[in-house]
Amino acid sequence: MNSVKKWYDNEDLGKDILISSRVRLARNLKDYPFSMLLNKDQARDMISEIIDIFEEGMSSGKLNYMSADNTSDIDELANFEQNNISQYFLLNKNPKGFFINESESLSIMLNEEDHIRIQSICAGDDINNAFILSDNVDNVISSKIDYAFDDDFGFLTSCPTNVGTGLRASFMLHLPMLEKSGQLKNLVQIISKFGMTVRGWHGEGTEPMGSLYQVSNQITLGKSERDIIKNLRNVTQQIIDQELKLRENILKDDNNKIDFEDKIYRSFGILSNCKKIGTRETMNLLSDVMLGNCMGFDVNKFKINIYKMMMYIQPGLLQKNLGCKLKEQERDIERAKFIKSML
Amino acid sequence: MLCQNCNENQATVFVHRIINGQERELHLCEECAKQFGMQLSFDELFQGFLDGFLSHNHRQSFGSENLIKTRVCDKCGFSYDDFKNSGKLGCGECYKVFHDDLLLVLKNIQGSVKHIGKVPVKNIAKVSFENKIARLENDLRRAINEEKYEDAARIRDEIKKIREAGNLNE
Ligand SMILES: [Zn+2]
Ligand SMILES: [Zn+2]
Repeated sequence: MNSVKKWYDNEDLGKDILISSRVRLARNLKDYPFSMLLNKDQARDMISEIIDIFEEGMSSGKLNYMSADNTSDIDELANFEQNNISQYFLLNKNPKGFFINESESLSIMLNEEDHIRIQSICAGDDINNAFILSDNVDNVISSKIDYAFDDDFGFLTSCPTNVGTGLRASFMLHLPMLEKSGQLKNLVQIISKFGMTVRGWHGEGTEPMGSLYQVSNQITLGKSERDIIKNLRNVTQQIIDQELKLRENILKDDNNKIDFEDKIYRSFGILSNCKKIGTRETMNLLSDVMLGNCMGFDVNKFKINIYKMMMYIQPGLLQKNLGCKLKEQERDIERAKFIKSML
Repeated sequence: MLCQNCNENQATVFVHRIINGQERELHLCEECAKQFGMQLSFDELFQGFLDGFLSHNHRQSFGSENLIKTRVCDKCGFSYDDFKNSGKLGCGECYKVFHDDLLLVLKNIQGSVKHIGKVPVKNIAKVSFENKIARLENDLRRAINEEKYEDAARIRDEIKKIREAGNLNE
């Protein structure tokens, strides 16, 4: 159907603690109030001004525009599950839309909390390329239209927590051992002192799932984009080191090792034999498989990488790929069927 | 947001004060707010906090506790209360209207009040355009002073050309 390789069509995805690198830029147009205060007509005008710029040409490959009118609820949910759109955007009832490129590495939300949210994502440790992708789009827009910008406060945003660079850089990490040992909570407190924060898989306001966490900068003002990313890298490396240390410890003791091995293979066993299964349970089991896979056990027998499995078992994507709306009970049965089909 | 007095606990109480004729909002934890309620000297309580962001000549007694009437952004109609309640701003202009309050908030949540980093492409173009004109006008003055009228005429033409091109780009 679609032959373009997605950013997550990457064999190595889910073989490492660090899953992906992403960048988000928050921008607003000077001539409109912020999204929250836009009436429907203003919102439509604002959106069409930006669409015009995109139609004049964007070098970053083909972009598809999904307006709220031609996107079904299931499509929207699926895009949220893949982090192409935010929870805020998903729930926003005003005129809105988003651009997305074919590899799904770039999306631009219009009329989110800010007028424009440019997002880019790269597999693995590749934050510089993610930044370049967003930065280029930003430059094209800002050469044609006036942003709300102040020499002192930088890019002006609806919420002062984003003002300045408007940049949120983040790494998606798989941290099962830190989570289970209870150490993650301490770590979150420590890194907040460095202006960093940890969020769940789908970002702000979402629950963690499958031990996936986004580590990102909290501070956006007074530091350059370069320094923000540099600091984030340093903090992220510390977190990864802590997770690695815990993983190594399991393998040191033979009793622990066999318990561990037993657990991850059982998890795979449940996944490949169940007749119905819920999202959360699937995520926990896939997380075990991901962990085992990362630690060198030959436990993953799925045809696609585990991160992709984690996305495809989500309710929205499951229904989207099946092409129909399902009740929860039916979804659980279809989910088990899907998992089996991936063996 | 952290308590602006102890900088340790989460701020849950917002205290509204007129400080030196300017409306200010202080975010306190319950502990500190309680202390404050026990008639502790306002000066004493906030001395440390204020040292951080008010210059010496601004640091006077706090006097009046009355609320001044709420300011409103002319452009979007957002009021100071809206900002206080939502933690958000209504438009870019709000950053000017609520500038002083924002300095406090930003100092607290961002640890800085000065942007470092990227500038929109249009602004870069504007800066370099203005720089170019300023440099040429300088050259022009010098040429006239030195009575190099041929040079002056050439520079004047150049300025005119750049200005016209600039207007087209606007
Ligand atoms: Zn306090
Ligand atoms: Zn305003």
